[in-house]
Amino acid sequence: MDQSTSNPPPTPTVGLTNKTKRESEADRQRKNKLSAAIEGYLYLAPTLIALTIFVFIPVVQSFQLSLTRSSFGRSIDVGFDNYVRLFNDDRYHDVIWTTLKFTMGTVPIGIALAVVLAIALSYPLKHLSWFYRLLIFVPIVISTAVTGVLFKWIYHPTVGYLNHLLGFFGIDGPTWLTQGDWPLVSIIIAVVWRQIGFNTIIALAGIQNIDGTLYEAAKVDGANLWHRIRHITLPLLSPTLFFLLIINVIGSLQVFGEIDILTNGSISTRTMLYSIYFEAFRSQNNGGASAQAFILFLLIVGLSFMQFVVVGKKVHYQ
Amino acid sequence: MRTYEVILYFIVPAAIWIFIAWLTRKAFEKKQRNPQTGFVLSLLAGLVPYVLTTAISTVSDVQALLWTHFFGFVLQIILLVIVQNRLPQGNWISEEEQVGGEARGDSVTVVLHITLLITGLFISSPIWIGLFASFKLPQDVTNFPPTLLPDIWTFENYVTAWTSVPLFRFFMNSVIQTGIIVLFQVVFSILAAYAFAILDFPGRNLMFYLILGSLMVPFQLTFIPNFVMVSNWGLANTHAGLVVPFLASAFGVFLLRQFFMTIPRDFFDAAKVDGASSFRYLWQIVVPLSKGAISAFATFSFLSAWSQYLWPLIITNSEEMRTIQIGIRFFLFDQERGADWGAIMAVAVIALLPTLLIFLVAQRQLVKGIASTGLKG
Repeated sequence: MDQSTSNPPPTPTVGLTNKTKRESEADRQRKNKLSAAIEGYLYLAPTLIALTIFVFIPVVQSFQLSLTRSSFGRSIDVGFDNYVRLFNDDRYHDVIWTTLKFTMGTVPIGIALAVVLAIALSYPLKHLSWFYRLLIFVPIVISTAVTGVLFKWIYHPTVGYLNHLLGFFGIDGPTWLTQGDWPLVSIIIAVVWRQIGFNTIIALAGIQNIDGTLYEAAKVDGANLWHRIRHITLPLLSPTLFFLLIINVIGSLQVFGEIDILTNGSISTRTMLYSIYFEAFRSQNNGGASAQAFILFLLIVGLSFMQFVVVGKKVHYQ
Repeated sequence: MRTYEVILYFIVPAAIWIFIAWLTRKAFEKKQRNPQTGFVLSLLAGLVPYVLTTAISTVSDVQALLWTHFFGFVLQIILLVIVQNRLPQGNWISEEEQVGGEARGDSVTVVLHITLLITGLFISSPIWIGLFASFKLPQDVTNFPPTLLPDIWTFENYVTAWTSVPLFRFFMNSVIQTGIIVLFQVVFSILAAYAFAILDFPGRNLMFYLILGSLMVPFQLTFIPNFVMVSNWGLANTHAGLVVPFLASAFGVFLLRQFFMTIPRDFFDAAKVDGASSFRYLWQIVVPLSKGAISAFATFSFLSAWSQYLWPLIITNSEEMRTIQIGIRFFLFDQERGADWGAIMAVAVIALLPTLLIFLVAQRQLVKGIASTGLKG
């Protein structure tokens, strides 16, 4: 505790006895400071130690590992060879391309859906609005493994509900998990579904935060519902949308469970994270996997930083 | 059991009970009596519909009836907890400041009700579909065309799943893993957040930025070195190995610190004057005042620990150490050829049940918590 600020400063006095008094006062303060430091770090110790062992040191190790050719056990230093290889590796280019397609598929659709749902949910209903929220938010608690399993069932080629449903509209559905580009689309749909609750909650919170008098003023000016959404809700929601954008892009880079369960990481659905797992645990190439992990890390840090800077600005702006 | 029988013996008693519980609650609120008494009363009242429906029952299969009653009872307790938590008033936002203005009974409202109901049912449909499929007869699950509701309701798929994989073991592994992670993350985060929010010591800000920075490090970067390290310690394929990388949570520290900082400083100074140690102040003042924030974080922590996939997948290599999430993966892949989808769905339902319950019970806190992370950025 800051004893130094809460205690009045020692009153200046004259004489020898007072000087020793003042010294002991300074001594005590130094002791207090020391004990405060010890106390503070004792509280921090569990978290600091755990993070050091399982986050900070592994970051360094991961970089070191990316400069070696190693499987579990032996390793040889190869410098930046792993990065050069990845740079020239067509398969890795495919992985990046797949990741890009995956992100471009999940993020815009996910956010657009969330905004539409949030606008609908923000309309004041006297009854049952809690129930609709419950139904729409519920995917947030479903794990990636369960999402994968549920959708594998829905995509079932013969008795799957999705193709049955499409059949009602006269559409002959594809065999979702094996045919052409459809496996990636299947995973995109599953991931959009899993994220929908989270995204809608954030979007709804953003909408609730908008000053209600603006709508009143717009109504007085004769703006209809669409105008109000277009010129008030969406512009004022832009910080929230940006937050959602970054969070969802990062989230889409971290999707693993659905890919593993739905397609077992077949080549057309192998994103950057799956590729890391595949390289390390199926090809036993830790060095190459770590190089890929580091590339992914830089990407995520860049995105987080962008989020930090832009949101920081927005906060000042408001 | 046919669908109408399920409704009669399962849904109807539950609905009646909920109604009674709601009525008693209202009555007790009006008279401003202790709601706990109301709780006990409504618990007793819950037996009445059972006695009634059993009295008029025509089901010859007594065992099935008893099972249904057992599950009905479990369901009712859950629903009652939800009622006690006032879920029906779950509007966590003020009603006034909204896109459409104040509530009206016009045509827009009607259209919106219908649209939201259909959308909501559609969005949650993968869960319904899985749930209903798990209660079908095994041979009915892959009937064409697919039906939503089972013709005959049974627990056969659960029995199949139970006997073909160590389901209980999977579930307990998940419980142990999640329990330990939540406990450690909550305790560690409280301690660290307290130091950051209330204590003052040299290097505090530096340490805070260090911990904040760890939020930027994705698990994808660290899981290979972690795997090597944990394996070298001989902890692969153990419960300890499942949990060690997740004992601390930078997110938790950040979240709780934000909350602890709202506690007036005077409290601390007063406690100091009274000679309370800083730990005692934390334990007797800060923690009780922050129950809401702590339980919100515990919920988060629970959900993410329960849903973990990548780490349990790589760190476990024998069947008896698998968590439920990994158990379901291998169950699915083992079965792939002649997939017994009913049993797979039964495992999926068991895997999602705990998180679903948490959601139903703590929906408001959870939504509030998520919403606040979005607003703060």
